[in-house]
Amino acid sequence: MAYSVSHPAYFHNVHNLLLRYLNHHLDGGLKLFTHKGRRSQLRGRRSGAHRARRPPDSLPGARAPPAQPPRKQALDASWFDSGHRRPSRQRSARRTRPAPGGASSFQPPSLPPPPPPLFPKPPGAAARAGEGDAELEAAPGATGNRKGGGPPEPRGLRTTSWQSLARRRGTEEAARRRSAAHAAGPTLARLPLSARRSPVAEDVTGRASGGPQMMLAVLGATTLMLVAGAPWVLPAAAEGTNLKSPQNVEVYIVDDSCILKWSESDEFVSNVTFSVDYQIPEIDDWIKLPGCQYVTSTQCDFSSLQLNVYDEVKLRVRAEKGNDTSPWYEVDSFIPFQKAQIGPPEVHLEAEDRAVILNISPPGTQDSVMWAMDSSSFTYSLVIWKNSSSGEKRTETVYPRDKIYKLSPETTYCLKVRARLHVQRKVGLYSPVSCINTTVENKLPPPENIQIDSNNWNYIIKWDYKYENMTFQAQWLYGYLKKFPGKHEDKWKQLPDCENVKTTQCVFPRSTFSRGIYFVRVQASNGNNTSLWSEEKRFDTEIQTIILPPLINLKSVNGSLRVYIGAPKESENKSVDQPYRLTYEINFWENTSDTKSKILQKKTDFTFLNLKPLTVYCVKARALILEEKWNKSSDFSDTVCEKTKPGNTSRTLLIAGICIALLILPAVVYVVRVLWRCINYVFFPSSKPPSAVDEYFSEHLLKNLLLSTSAEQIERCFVIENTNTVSAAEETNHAGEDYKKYGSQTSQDSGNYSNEDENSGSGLSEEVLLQGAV
Amino acid sequence: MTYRWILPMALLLCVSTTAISVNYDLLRSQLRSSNSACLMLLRQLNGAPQRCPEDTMNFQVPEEIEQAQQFQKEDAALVIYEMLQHTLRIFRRNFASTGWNETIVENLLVKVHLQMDRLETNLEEIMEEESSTWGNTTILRLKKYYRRISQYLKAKKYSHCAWTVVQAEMLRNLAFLNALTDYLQN
Repeated sequence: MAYSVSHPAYFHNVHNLLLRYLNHHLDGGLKLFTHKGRRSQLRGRRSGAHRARRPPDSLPGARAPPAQPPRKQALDASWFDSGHRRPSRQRSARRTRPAPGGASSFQPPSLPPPPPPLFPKPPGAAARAGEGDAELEAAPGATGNRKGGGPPEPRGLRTTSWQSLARRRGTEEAARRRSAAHAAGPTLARLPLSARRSPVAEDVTGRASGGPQMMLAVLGATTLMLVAGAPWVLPAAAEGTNLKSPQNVEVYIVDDSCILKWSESDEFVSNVTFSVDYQIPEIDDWIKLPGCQYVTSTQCDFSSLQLNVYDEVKLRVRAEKGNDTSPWYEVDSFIPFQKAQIGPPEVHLEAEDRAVILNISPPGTQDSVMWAMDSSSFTYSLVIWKNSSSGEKRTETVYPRDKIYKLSPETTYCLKVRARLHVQRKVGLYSPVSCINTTVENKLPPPENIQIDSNNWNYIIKWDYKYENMTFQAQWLYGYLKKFPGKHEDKWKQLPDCENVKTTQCVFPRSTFSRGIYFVRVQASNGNNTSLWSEEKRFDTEIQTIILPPLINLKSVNGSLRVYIGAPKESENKSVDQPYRLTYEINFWENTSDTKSKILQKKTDFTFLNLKPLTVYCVKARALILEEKWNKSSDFSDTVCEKTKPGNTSRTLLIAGICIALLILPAVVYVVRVLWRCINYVFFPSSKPPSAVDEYFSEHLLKNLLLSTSAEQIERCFVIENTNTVSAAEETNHAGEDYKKYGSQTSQDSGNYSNEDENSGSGLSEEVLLQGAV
Repeated sequence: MTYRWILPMALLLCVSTTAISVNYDLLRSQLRSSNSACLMLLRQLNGAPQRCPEDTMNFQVPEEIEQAQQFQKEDAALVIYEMLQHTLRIFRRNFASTGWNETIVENLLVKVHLQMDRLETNLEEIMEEESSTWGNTTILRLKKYYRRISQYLKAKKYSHCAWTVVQAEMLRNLAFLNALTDYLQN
């Protein structure tokens, strides 16, 4: 296919093609239309019983031109002979199916139910049409038989022509239209929306007589199909008419300049303008960016917005052409400060004989918004090299106002500087290279090799100088001033005790400086000339003369030794700050061997790995200050030794063993308890009757058993008749023995005792009384 | 089984942690001592007495600083550094209208700078290991907060009353800073 459906010219081409075919075949005696008419006629006729219902109007074939009657009649005859619909449907199926994709592919996504026929159609036919392609496909049989003579060929031709057209076009729409054009009558029900109209059109055109009317019918059908197909085709075609949103949209922020850049999506489309909107958190709506509305350039500078650099910003851009607009391309929301890149700083140079004075201005302008809060936080790194020779490059970290030392006089040096924000992990762009010539060597060199020492009361500054008989003076500066750009030449203060000293050293009390960081510089003079200032020596008041040895803590961890270096013990009460940047020299050796390995470390917590398990290693360390050839070291600490633990596998085994042992412990305890009970039972039985016995025999039952052997119960009775006998009654116990004398009687009574308790009891008492009376 | 917890505990012990070289305890002690000196110095700043309108400005300290939220020691170090930096920057401004003793202010700045220097040596290592994005938002908020203070000072043309307000605010900040140093523990 030459072009896609989306091309605007497509529709025209299809239409033209249809017309061409129609014209072509018109010459051939309207075979197409008769054929068509025949088909519809056949279809109509084949509706079987409902044949009669089909109005003659709907049969275009009925109005076939007179030129065609013989064929038509022949057809009619054959048709009547056959009397089936199916072959025709088959034919139509054959006609439509060969089209690539088939009519089935044209089925509109949502096939509407077949509309009620606007004119009486055989309902069966309508229903059948509604079923659609399935029906067509199901149609078996040979149609060729029925057709007999003329029609097959031309029909075949026609079908092939349509098929070839379909193949050539190869689009769903074209085939659909073809099938629609073919499928007059019942199959029209398959068509959407205006499908209803086409039968009418067919009908109308059918009523008209002759080929031209047929042509009009087909034309009408195609235009209606185009209209009908519009909803499906238009979105696809829309791409051709609508714009695409810009691509490769990027935000570039360098210092205060914020630029949004993009590229056109389609280079061939001319006269495209772009618009940019922005949105900030407080306002929920998109705001038009002034100066970037309907611009032709592919970038937009939004620095003038004066945005809050720490707040999120959203941008969107789109293309426009005339009334068409592309969809918005939204840039992910960003925080300008985070996206910003540090620009190049400004460098001013001043030359000395062996040094170059730097004056670096921070990136951005004086009143930069982006770096307003960070102007003093920049750290600068510098690369300097000799312009002439190989140009060995030297990199240094410098302050905004600093000096680069150790240069040769009368040489051209070139350098470039870049700024850095450590905390934000930003690295800036290099400044342009600037070169300078160092001056001629000065007569009086500056003092060198400044060292600051201290004891408990004073600080001592020492330096070296080439010549004799010079006077020196020293100055100091607050350390924090170095962090800020700008001149602080006037901020240097004289060290009172170091003015005009003759020796190459100077002593001043500790009380001069409160705790902090300062800079010191020395100058020599011999009355007439003064030298340039020496290097600015950094001076930390925390430095002590005596560095105390550190404390070492060893821990063996899993086959390695972990070393903790702690602050040294102090004899004084106040906590002494460790001099910063202490380096530790650690001596490490196996206890058995003598070879010691020395390691220099700044870290206070590290691990010796890959040691032999179950061996004793020893460590001792001392603290050093390795700063500018100032070798200050402490004494060695005490030696600490530790045995390494067994290796990984054995350790895990050990732990596993412990765990298992601990798990088994309760079980063991239980078993022991049971055993103990058994032992107790076997060897140390208790005198208590088993509990079962206790349960079985309750208390009173037992007592009854026992009492049966002993004396019978004697009731205490009070006889009311004789008051004298009260005391006698109380002595029934004693009478118990007397009672035995009357054993026979009593035995008798005892026999009746249980039954006649009261009687016997009273009887007894009477006898007792009698006895008592006697 | 009562001893089931032993195994996971043992496994936990086996996990070796990366050795952090920054001696946070030492750092903490250093910062604390300097910080207390700063607080003392700040309180000493008594300029000429002047009646100021009851201008209670709310500069909106970031919440996480005010409420001393739980911080990782690396994040605490970064936040403290940021706060010190801005304190240094603000007190470099022109305070001539206040009549403060310059030496005291200079001493204060020296102490602040000292704390920063102690942190700087550790910051390099912290930045190597640290890869949290959390820190960014808090630091951005801190920048906005200090910007408000700077803009307030500028708007009030560095007047005495404005400086008094700022002095009070800075005292609060240093107190927060003190609380933050608690998190600098090994």
